[in-house]
Amino acid sequence: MPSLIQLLQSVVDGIANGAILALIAVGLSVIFRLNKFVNVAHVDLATVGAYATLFLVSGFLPVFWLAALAGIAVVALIGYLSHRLVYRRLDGQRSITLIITSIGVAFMLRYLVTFIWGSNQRSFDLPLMRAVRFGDIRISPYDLTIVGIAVAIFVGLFVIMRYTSLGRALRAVADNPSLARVSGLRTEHLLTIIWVAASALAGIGGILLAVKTVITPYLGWAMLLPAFAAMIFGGVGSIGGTFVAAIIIGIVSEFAAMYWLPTYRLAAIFGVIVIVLLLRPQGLFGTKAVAK
Amino acid sequence: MTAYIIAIGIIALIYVLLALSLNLQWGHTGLINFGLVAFFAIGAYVSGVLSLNGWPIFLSMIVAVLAAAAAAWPLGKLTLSLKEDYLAVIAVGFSEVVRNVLENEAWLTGGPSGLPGVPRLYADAPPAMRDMLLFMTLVVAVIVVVAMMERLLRAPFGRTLRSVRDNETAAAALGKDVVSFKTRSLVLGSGIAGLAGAFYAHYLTFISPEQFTPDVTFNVWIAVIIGGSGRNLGVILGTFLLILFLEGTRFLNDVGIGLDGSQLGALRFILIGLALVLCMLYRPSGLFVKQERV
Repeated sequence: MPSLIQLLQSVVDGIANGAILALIAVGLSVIFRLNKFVNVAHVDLATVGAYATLFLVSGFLPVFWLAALAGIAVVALIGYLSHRLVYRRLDGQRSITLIITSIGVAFMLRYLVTFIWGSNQRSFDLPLMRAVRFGDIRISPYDLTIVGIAVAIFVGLFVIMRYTSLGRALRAVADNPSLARVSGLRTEHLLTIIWVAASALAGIGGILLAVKTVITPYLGWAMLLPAFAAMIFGGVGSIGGTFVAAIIIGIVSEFAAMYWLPTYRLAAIFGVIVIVLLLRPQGLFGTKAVAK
Repeated sequence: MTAYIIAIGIIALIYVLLALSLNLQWGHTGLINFGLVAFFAIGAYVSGVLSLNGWPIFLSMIVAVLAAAAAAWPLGKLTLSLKEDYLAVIAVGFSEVVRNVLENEAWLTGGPSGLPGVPRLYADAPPAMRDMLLFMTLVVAVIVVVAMMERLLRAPFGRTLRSVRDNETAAAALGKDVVSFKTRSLVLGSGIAGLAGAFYAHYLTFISPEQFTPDVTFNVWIAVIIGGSGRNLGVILGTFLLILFLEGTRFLNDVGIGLDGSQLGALRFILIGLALVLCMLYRPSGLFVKQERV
C-alpha cells in the first residue's frame, strides 16, 4: 500500500500532467462548441509543436524558449491553414463529415512527422535540475514551470473572455453565430482568431508534454481520449471547467498508475468518461443543449 | 503465385467482412465507429482462446461473434443518445483500452508476445487445399452476410436505419426509437467484425495485440468511403482497391523509390489521410457513384 507521501507525490505529478492536458483540451472544447464537431486532428497539433521545436532547437535556433515560440507559431499557422483550406469549405455540412475530414488531417500530420523524423523516441536536450523539496515531497522545477505557464495562460484566457471587447465578441459568436453576425460582428474573423489561438495552445501543450516525457509521433494522439474526457467532464465550451476537469483527470490517471497498472491510465480515463456520461452528460459547467 | 493470390485473397475477404460491418454502421446508419478494430480483436481473441482450450472451432467462432456483438451493446447505450462525435472518440478510446487489456492480461491473452498455435480451419486437409477451402468458406461467408444485409435493409428495419441516417429528427418525430435502432445496428455490425476476427485468428494461427491498432480501423474506413458508403458492392470494390494499394506500395522499392519500412508505412497513411480529406471535400458519396450530398 503506498504511503501518504507517495500519494501526495502522485497528486503533484497528476496536477502537472493535468495542466498540460488542460492546454490541449481547451481548444478541442471551444472548437466543438463553435464548429459543432470534435476536431480529432487538434491533438496531433501538439505532436507537430514538439517536433517543430525539436527541429529548430537542434538547428537554427539553439535557444530553447525561442525555438519553442517559433514551434508554437508553426502550429498556429497549421491550425489556421487547416481551418482556411479544409474545414471552412465544409461549413454547413453535418458534423459526421467534419469528423472524418479531421481524422484525415490527423493522419496527414502524424505520419508526415513520422515520415520526416522517424518513429524513434526523441527528447529535448534540457539540463537536469535538482528537485525542489517541500518537506518529503519533491517537485521538479520543470513541473513547477509547466503548472505556472498553464495557470498564467488560463488566467489570461479568463480575463480576455470576461473583460475585453474581444472576449465579449467571442462569447457572442459561441452562443449564437448567426445572431452575432447580424449584430455586425465579423464572425469569420473571430473564428480565425479562435482557430489560431486554440492551435497555438495545443502546440504549447505538446512542447510542455515533450519536456516532461519523450517525443514520439503518437505524443498528441495519445492525448485524444484524455482531452475528450476533460472536455465533456468540464462541460463543452467551458474554459474554466476544462481546466478543473483536466487537473482531476491528471490526478485520477496517476492514481490508476500507482494502484493499478501504469498502462491502465487510459482505462481509468475511460472509466471517468463512462461515469460522467452516466451521471452528468453535460459536464461540470456545461449546459444540456451542447451534449446533443 | 497461386498461393500468393489465395493468401492475399483471404486477407482481402476478411477485410471485406470488416468493411461490410462498417458499412452497416456508417453507410446505412451514420454511426461513426472509429473503434472497429476492438470488435475485430475481441472476435479474434475469443475464438483463439476458446479453441486453444479445446472448444470445437465452429462453436468458438459463434461465441466470438456473440462476444463482439455483446461488447458493442454497452458502448451504444452510453453514447448513441448523444451527438455522433461521442461515439467516434469513445470508440477509439475503447479500442485502445481493449488493446491495453490484451497486452497486460497475459494469463488469458498471452500478453504482448501474443497467442501462438491457434488451431486452423480444415486442419485435416492437405496444406495446398487448406487455404483454398478457407478462401471458399470466406467467399460463402461474404455472400451470406451480403444477402442477409440486403434482405434486412429492404425490410422496414433497413428503411428505418436509413431514415435515422438521413434525418434523425424526422425519424424520431415519426415515433421511431432512434437510439434503439442505432444500438441494434452497432451491435449487429460488431458481430460481423467479430466474425472477421475469428477467421483472421484461425487463418494466421498467431494473434498479438500489435495486429489490432487503430490503423486497421482507418484502413477499413477509407475502403468504405472510397467504395461509396451504403452500397455493399461498392464497398467490396473499395476494399479490393485498398488491398491493391497496400500490396502495391510494397513494390515501390522495386521501381527505384528507396524508402525504409517505417517511411513506407508513413507514406501510406499520409496518402490515406489525404484521400479521406479529398473524398469529404469533393466526392462524399464515393468514387464510383453519381454524387449527391450525404
